[in-house]
Amino acid sequence: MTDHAQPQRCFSCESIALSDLGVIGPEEVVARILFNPQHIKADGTVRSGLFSPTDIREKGVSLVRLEHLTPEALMAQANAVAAKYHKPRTAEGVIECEAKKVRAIFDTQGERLLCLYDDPTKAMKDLPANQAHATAIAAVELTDADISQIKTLLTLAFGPLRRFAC
Amino acid sequence: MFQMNRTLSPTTVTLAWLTTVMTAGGTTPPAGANRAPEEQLAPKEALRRNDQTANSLAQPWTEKVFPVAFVEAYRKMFSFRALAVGWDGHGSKAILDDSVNAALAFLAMLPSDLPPPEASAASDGTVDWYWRNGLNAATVTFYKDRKAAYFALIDNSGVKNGFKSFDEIPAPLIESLRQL
Repeated sequence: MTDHAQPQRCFSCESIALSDLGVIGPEEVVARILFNPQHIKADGTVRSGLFSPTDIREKGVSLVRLEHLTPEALMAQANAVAAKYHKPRTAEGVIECEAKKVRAIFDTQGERLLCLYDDPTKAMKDLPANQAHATAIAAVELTDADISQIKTLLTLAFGPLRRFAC
Repeated sequence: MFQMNRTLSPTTVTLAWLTTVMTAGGTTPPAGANRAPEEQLAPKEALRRNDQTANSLAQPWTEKVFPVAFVEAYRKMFSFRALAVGWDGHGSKAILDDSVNAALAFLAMLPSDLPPPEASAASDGTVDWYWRNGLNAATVTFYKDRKAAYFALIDNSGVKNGFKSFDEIPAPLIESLRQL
C-alpha cells in the first residue's frame, strides 16, 4: 500500500500504472481477503464494519487483482498476511467486486469519493511482494456522512464470501 | 434474576432484563467466548467494563423498552465491548465504549415498527448499525464523543448527514428506514 496516498493524486494514479500489470480497468475484478469471521454473516455476505473509516480515509482499503493472481499465489499471499496476525489465523476467503462499482461512488455534487488504483507492494519480512495489490482510498476530504455512504455502497457492491478450499 | 414488566405487551421486555442478562453473561455464551486469549479482556477488565455499562444504563434513555426484535442487535452490539486491541489484526483498536454506548442509546430511541439493525464493528474502534433489504440499505456509524453519521439508500436515492445530539434520531433517517 502506498504510504498515505494524497487524495488529490488518486485520479492520476488510476490512469498511470504503478505496477507491471497495467492500470485497473472498469471491468476488472478486485477482491478483499477476509481473515476475521467477525465480519462475515451466516449467509456469506459481509458486515459494514469490514470497511473502517480510518482505512477509507487514511490507510486505504487493501485489495488484490484476482485475474493477475493464480489461486496458489492468492493463497500464499493470504497465508502470509494471516501469519502476521497476533494470534493464529487462517484466511477465510475473498469477496469480489468490479472496479467500476468502487469508482461509481459520488457525492451530491457528482464528485468521486473513492479512487481505486494498482498499488504493488514490495517484499517485506515474511510477506512476499505482490504486483497484484490494489488500494481504494478517499479521493477527496470525506465527511462522516460520506464515510457512511461509502461503507453502505461497498457492503452492497462486494459479493458474498468465496471461501478458500481447505 | 430478571423481571418482566407485566404492564407491557408480550412482545416487549425491559432493558433491566437485558442488562441483567448481559452482565450475567446471558443465556448464551458471550460472543467472545471462543476467541483466543489475545482478543479477550482479562476477566477483571471485562467485569469493570460491564459494571460501567450497568452504571451508564441507569440513565434516562435506559428506561426505554426495547422490542424483542431488537434484543439480538443489543446483545451483539454490547458484545463488541470485549473486543480488545488486536482483535482485527495488526493495528486494530479496541472498540470504543463511547461508540457502543452511543449505538445502544440510538437503539433505545429507534421506533419499534422499524426493522432491527445489524451490529457491526470496525478495526478502528467504531461501530455501525446496518440495514439491508435487497438493494436498499442504510448505515449509521458511531464515533467517539457521540459523533455519528448516517447514509440510507432507498430506490437508488441516498440521504446522508452527520449528527451529534442523541435527543432524537434525524427524521430523514427514520423516514428512510421505514421504506427499507
